[in-house]
Amino acid sequence: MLKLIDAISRFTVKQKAATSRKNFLKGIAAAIGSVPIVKTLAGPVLAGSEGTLAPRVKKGVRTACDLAVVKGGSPAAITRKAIEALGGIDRFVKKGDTVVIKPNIGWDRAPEYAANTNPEVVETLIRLCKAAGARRVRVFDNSCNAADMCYRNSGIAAAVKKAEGYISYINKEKFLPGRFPAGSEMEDWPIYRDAVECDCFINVPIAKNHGLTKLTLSMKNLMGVCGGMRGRIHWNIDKKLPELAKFISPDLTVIDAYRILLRYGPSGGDLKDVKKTGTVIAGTDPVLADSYAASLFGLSSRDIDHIMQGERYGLGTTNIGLAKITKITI
Amino acid sequence: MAVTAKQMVLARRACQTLSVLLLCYIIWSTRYPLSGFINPAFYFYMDPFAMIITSIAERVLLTGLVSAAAMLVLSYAIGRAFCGWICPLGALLDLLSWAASPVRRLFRKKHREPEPSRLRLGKYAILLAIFLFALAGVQTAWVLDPITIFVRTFSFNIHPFINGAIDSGFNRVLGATGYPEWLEAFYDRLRELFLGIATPEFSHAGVIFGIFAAILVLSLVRRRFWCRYLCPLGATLALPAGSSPFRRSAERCTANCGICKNTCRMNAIRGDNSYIPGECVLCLDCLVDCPGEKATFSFRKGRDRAVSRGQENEKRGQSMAEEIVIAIVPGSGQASSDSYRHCSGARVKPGNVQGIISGKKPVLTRSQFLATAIGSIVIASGPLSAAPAQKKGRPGTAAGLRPPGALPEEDFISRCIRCGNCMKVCPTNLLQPSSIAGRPGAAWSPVLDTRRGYCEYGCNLCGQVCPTDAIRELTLGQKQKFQIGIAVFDKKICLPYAKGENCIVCEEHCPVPEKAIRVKEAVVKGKRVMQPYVVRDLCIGCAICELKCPVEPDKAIVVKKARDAGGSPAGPGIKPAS
Repeated sequence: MLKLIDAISRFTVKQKAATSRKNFLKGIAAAIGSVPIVKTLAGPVLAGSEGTLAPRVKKGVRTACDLAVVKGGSPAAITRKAIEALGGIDRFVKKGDTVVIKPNIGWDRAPEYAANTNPEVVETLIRLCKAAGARRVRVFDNSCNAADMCYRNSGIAAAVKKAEGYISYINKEKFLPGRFPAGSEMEDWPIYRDAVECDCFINVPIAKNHGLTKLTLSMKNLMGVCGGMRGRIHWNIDKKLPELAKFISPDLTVIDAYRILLRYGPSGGDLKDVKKTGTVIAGTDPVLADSYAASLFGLSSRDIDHIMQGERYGLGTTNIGLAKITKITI
Repeated sequence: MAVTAKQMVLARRACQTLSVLLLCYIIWSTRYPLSGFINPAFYFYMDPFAMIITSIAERVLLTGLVSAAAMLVLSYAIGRAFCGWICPLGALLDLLSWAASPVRRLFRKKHREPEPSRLRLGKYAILLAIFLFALAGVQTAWVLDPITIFVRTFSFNIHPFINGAIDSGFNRVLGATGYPEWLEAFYDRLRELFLGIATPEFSHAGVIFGIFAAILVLSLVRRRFWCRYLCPLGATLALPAGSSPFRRSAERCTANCGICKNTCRMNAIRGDNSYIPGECVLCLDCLVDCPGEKATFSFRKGRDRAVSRGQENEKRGQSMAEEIVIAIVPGSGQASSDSYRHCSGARVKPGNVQGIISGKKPVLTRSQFLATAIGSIVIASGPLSAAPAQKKGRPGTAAGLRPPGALPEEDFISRCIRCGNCMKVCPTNLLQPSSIAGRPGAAWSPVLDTRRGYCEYGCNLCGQVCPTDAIRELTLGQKQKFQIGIAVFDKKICLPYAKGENCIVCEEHCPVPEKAIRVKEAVVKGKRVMQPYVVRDLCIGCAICELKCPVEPDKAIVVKKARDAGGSPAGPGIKPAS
């Protein structure tokens, strides 16, 4: 014990001698502490400061036709042609824009199984955006299976890198509660920041079968920007999906129906359930695009409740007959 | 050909460093996608103790036995070089005692009685006990195997800690600076190539770290305490090493100053300058530190036990003649008169003087060191005691499911050496060490925690990294038919049954191509709903349905072992092709 006291006293003596130096160090510490970054790091991170996410505002883009439906043998060519038929990507993407492309990368499946969006469709869209002067084309999905396996085996990670887009993995810190209309069932649902904070949002789902909603098309694909316990979106899903589509308001919807999954969706896994239709559907109206895609499965929009709800919600029209649809076969 | 001892010691340190780094690299990259550069089982194949004990206990011939036998031959040829040159745990202990040597010097007694070398028998006793258990069919090598301890601790504690620190560090900076694009892009690439998408977490990591920490702390009491007195792998290697023809000799030494005895990290050198070959790990410090440069290591013809028993002087001439050319001799040149100075005191008893090697002044005095240490413990205990207590109860492990391809339960527990490779590689963090409380004999063997992860349909990595084939290596096709368990609905809480509301998240996620969870239409409380049911012949028990089930806290669908799920009594196995 005596030794301990002795040691402490020896320390204090030493410190007295170094008073001036100590003050000097204190000054430096204070100077560093006043730098804003250090201040923020030292304090609790983002203590509710940024709070919530406001809904995205849709660009009012006028296109050459309401819907472009292109058939052909090459996913890249039909995608290119469909965008051309709408009047070109320049109508959506301006120089210096940050673009988000949201494909379906939900499952650890190869492209042939039609569980994920065709990588060539994604790649072509990135190239188009890049050519139109987009500064950054971000691609992501909150996948259902392990993200690294989905990104790799869907072929999308490689395709994005080839087209010099930016493949981004979901970062849990970037979900913020969305400001949905009061009383909405989606109120305060966690939404991925990047999906909202962009200049142009292009929704690129794959058309496939789904147990609950019969088909998963563009509106259902938007579940990939949601966080939280996503299974609960399934409860009363037909109301929730239109609200989500309204919140994200995709500027452009490109439905990949190059291969479609007819049964046992949304993950599939058997090639005999896959049908090659060689089609891409593009338009600004998600309800119209979904309605048309349903016809590929021999269904009508009347069979699919969330599409009907979308129309009632004012997201678009289910009336394929009245819409101006450009059909091209390459 | 003669190599100077100094060069050899440098080579040893390089070898140890490389070995630790290599193993760390192997463990770090034990994740999806397995790079295939070196199989994570590599170090276990070099471990004759684990391989032989497991083989005996399980009455099988493991592939690792071949390389294990090679290690025994090597030990016979040159002694316990593995311990001194390769063993990653030993290297870590060396590093630690080197780093702590200024501190230890503060607490040294002026005079020390030589430690009885009989203590070394402790490790043989441990080895014998484990061997007897193995004969009885119980494999207990996993408790004290040094490679396992290193790998396990790295996988369960060190990797998650480092990974988590980098992860949360990046997230803090990103959040504070508003996600600058270049930094975020860098972070994303880092996650993809190095960190993994999510930092894994493991239960019972505290106990596992405790054993590792105890070994480290013991090395502060005596250098390589673990290797001297406890390590069963060291004992295994010491058996052939004891009669190795490659030996140290100090016949030319006349001073008997005791420096080599003091310097020996294994307490292998006796007061009379003889040594115990089975204890020597060939660190070669005794050659470098020998003031007279009298000691050498060399091959001898004829295993003359007397040489090691301190009768060198009688045999001297004869033995010298029998030395074979390959020899490691002390460095030439400066025969440091400096070192001689330390043993020149007339009253000094050989071997009992401490601090004889280094005359460096300590940075802190003993009392200053104590004050600093106590102070920092007091300061650090504040935040530590504020740390949240571990969450209690793990309902996900209640079913006691084993990984796909696991041997039948009893065989599995006996075959598994708890290295943690399967848990490290599992992409969804599903595999967790099982609890010590449930069944001590099965502690830390991998068990599925179905509330933390699920078995990824397209993954068969756990079977690929298992060093003892406790988890068989299945092809992807076999694995996708392997029934881990069977999912069972709890219709009292499942929404479509209980409340008549649509849900079927389970059906959506079911990865079986023709869906093992299917739906039928029904009317509940006047509402038309789709009610899910399990097709037992198709269900593989991957448990993604349980993880994704939105009903909480008790899940409406739970995976159970086939025999607990009711119906057919079949155990886990590959289903017949449908």
